[in-house]
Amino acid sequence: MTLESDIGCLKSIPLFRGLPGPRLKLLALMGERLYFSAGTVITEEGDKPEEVYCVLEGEVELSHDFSDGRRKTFRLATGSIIGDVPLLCNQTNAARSTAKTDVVALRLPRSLFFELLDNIPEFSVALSRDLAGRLYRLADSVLHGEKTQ
Amino acid sequence: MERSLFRYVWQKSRREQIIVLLVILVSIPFNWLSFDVPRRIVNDAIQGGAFRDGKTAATVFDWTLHWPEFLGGGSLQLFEGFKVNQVGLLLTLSFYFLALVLINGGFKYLVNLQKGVLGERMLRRMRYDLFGQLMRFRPEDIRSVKPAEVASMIKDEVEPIGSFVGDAFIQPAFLLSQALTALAFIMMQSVWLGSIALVIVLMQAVIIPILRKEQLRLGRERQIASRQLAGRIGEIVDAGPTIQGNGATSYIQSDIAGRLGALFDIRYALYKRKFAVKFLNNLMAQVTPFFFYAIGGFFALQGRLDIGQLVAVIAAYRDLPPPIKELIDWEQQRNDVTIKYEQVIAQFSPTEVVTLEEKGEIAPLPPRGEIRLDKVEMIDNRGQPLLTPLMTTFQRPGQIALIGPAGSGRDTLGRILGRQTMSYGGRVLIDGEPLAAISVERASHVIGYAGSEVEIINGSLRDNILLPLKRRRPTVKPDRSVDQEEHRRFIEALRAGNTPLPFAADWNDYEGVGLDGEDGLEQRLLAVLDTLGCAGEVYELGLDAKVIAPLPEGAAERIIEARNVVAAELSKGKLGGLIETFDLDRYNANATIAENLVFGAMRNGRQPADFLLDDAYARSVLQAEALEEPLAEIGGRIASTLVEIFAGLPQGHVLFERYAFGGEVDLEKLGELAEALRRHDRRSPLDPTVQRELVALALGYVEPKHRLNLLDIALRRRVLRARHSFKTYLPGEKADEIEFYDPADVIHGASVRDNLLFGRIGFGVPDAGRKVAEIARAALSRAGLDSSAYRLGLNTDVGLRGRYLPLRLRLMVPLAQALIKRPDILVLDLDAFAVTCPDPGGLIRRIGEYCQERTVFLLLTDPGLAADIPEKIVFNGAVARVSGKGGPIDEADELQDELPARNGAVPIEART
Repeated sequence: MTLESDIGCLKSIPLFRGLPGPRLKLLALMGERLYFSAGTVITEEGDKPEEVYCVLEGEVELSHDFSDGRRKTFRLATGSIIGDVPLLCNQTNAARSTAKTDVVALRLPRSLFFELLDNIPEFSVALSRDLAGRLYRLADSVLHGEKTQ
Repeated sequence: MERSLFRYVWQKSRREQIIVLLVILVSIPFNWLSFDVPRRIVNDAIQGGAFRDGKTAATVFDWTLHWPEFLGGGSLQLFEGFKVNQVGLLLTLSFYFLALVLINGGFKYLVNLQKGVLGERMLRRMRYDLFGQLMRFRPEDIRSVKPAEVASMIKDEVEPIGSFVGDAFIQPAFLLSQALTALAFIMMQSVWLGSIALVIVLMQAVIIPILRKEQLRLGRERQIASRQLAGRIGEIVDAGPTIQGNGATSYIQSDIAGRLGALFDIRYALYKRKFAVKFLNNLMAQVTPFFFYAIGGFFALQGRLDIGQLVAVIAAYRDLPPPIKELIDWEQQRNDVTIKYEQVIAQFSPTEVVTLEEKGEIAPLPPRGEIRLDKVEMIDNRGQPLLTPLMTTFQRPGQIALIGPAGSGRDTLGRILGRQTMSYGGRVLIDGEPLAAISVERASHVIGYAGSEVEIINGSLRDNILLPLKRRRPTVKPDRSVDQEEHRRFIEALRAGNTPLPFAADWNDYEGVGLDGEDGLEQRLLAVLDTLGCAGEVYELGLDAKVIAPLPEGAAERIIEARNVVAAELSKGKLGGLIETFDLDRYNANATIAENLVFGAMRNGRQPADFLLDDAYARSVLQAEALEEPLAEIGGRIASTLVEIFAGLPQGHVLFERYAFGGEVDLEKLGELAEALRRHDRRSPLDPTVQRELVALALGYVEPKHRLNLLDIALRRRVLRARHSFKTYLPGEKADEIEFYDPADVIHGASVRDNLLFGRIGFGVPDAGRKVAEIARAALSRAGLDSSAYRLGLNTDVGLRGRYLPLRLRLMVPLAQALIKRPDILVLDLDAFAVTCPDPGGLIRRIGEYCQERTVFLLLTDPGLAADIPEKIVFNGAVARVSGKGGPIDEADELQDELPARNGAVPIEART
């Protein structure tokens, strides 16, 4: 896997579509590219997040086990970003994330994530848009009872 | 300090000055004789005056004591002398003259040497005193001085004062004695000629100093202007990057140009004066011989003066102007130096100074007591309040949270309680004793302050953390045998009024902080690191430290053992893939190209990359394997990529440092390289320096880390081949410098981590670093090397202003300094540090536990963190509100307005 293919992946993610080329390259270079085989737990529920993952390839499942044995899952497609919400509001992970298929993810450590937010305006804007989109869909599903994704 | 230079000098060097003056006194008769002998040579020996009445022999060196009249006259011959003929007399007297020249020269040498030593000693004392004076400034005054100006004063401006000190009393005495001897001699030969010389000398002595008044004024102006220039340059250098970034360089340069211009004008005027005075001075000195020739010659023709006398007078006169001139110079120097001294002293005499040392033993505070703030307030120099009057009382021990945004009254109160400022109104009473009146030494025992400013001194991390303990004067053991050199240094320090205590001695105050010795201190250090949650980081630093020969007994075996444990542990846990071990026949993708080429560590602490670049043999291997060009090519690609992605980000950016190729590379240089490459014509060879820089860049490249896809299979093979030939043909004298990786041996010069893992952690494996660190840690502690890792970590060199430390450890230093000495009262600004902590609440809890039975003031921004702290002061700007257990209820209600409302919603905070 080369840098070019990573950049290609990043470009296909709606979140980063608007970033200029050099900034995309910066993101790809600064992040750590990690491989998770199918079934691996990526983050555990209740942990304090130390990083943000951008899913470059594959699918990730978010799950929460209720005490009565019921289980609620939620699937994230390629291009999703995991861990940004709890990191930004200083909370623990609300769900466990597992690699549903083989997953390639770009890991941005906590410090790097905030450095990027602080220093790359394009990144902040892109993330805000993405967050807003998610919030909108969430509100939509709560208010109109429609299924999201 | 003493305000009059002469009194200062006389007080501090009386004995030595008197000794030299006595030497001068003894030298006067010899000086006199050296004037008299030429007369005798001319009159008696050459003109035959001693042989006039048909005598064939003359007596020389007859020593006869003539009794004075009141003792009855008569005489006693001590030595009857030699009888010599005319040639004999000439030679004897000539040799006598030569001997006198040597003796006088000897006296001059002795006096000058003593003067020099005296001056140097006084210079040393003065610098030390000035420095000591600086340490007595109030903390806020120290902060407001310009470092460059003070440095220039202590270093440069007192230099001429120091060299003058040797002359202060001796020079006038010496010169006067010379001049008066010469003048008296001339007078004895001829009153007329003597009177002429005297008149001219007096004229010189009166007119020249008057003319020089202006010169002095200019000199003073020059001193002030140059000092301001130094201060300004210091300021500009500090703000250099900002000025550059804002494109204000020309503006600033014009400021400097203006200052240089003013300085030039002063110096030009000074020169004009100086040479005018010099001209006049010379003229007067030259005119005198005219009178001697004319009038003296006239007398000689008349027979009222013999030729020998005239020659002697002229010879004596040769010796008259230099002392006079030097005397005038001395007078000028005296004025000059007195002014300089007064200038410098004025700078070092603030209106208020603090008491530095406690006279008796330092009495510890009783375990219980109270801290009372009595109308404590502070106003800045524009009259704006920094802290509005505050009246409250705290019981000791206790914990108090000062809550408010950074820069509010919170920081002001913190500085007041931490004794970082003394210019506040009202009083802080600790058990009834005003805080401001406590000596610096006692305050350092009672109070520990960690503010928002991080000052890191050069040295190791340990040196920095232990700085607050360096307050016990080391005992100078008399039973230890002292070598001569050390003894001399000791005596010399005492003579100059400096402290003779050696810097290298153990200054740690173990008893003062309740410890019994070094082992206890080590424990305390670890406890502090644990409290601040930084033990892990220090441990990691220790793992990065180099293993340096010679190792202590058995350490090598234990390292190898730990290495085997790590390897076994990794393969057992199916984690073998986490580490790519060093293998002579395989390219290690997770190591730099340089490390792959050398396949070993440098024993002398150099980097393999530097060795490859600088060493002729290494360069020849690279050339022989035709690696230089492909490496330069890689360097070029790196440079252009970095320039592309970091364009538009500010200099020295954190993101850039994160991706850095070692500390030396900056974006500007990369830009230059990329530009040079772009302009480069492919057909001609690269400029050697550019090529070198590019190769340097490539040597630091790690494919999985930097991920630019620059290393293909063919190149790896060539690197491997170069590695083999590098090892095979390594010349004998270089074999000592390099230690090749060997699985069965400790690699000296490589990091502890490399030694343990014998390989590199793979990039791109989730959590690889953490998993390996756990295993390595377990292995190290099993091998009993845990404490060594901490020790190595603490011994890490912090670099200039802590450059080599991770940010978190840099922020930790002031807190650790406050905690290590366990004072009665701690004032800790946790703002910046808490942000870097994964668990700030835990940090505050641990600090509370560590500081049991102490009083802690915690400066916080987030009120949520202070939930468990019973007493709080909340700041809104300069206004403080006290709340807590004892606080009145209405105040607590008011406090609610300050804090975010807690109506079930989680407060949201903006991240700045």
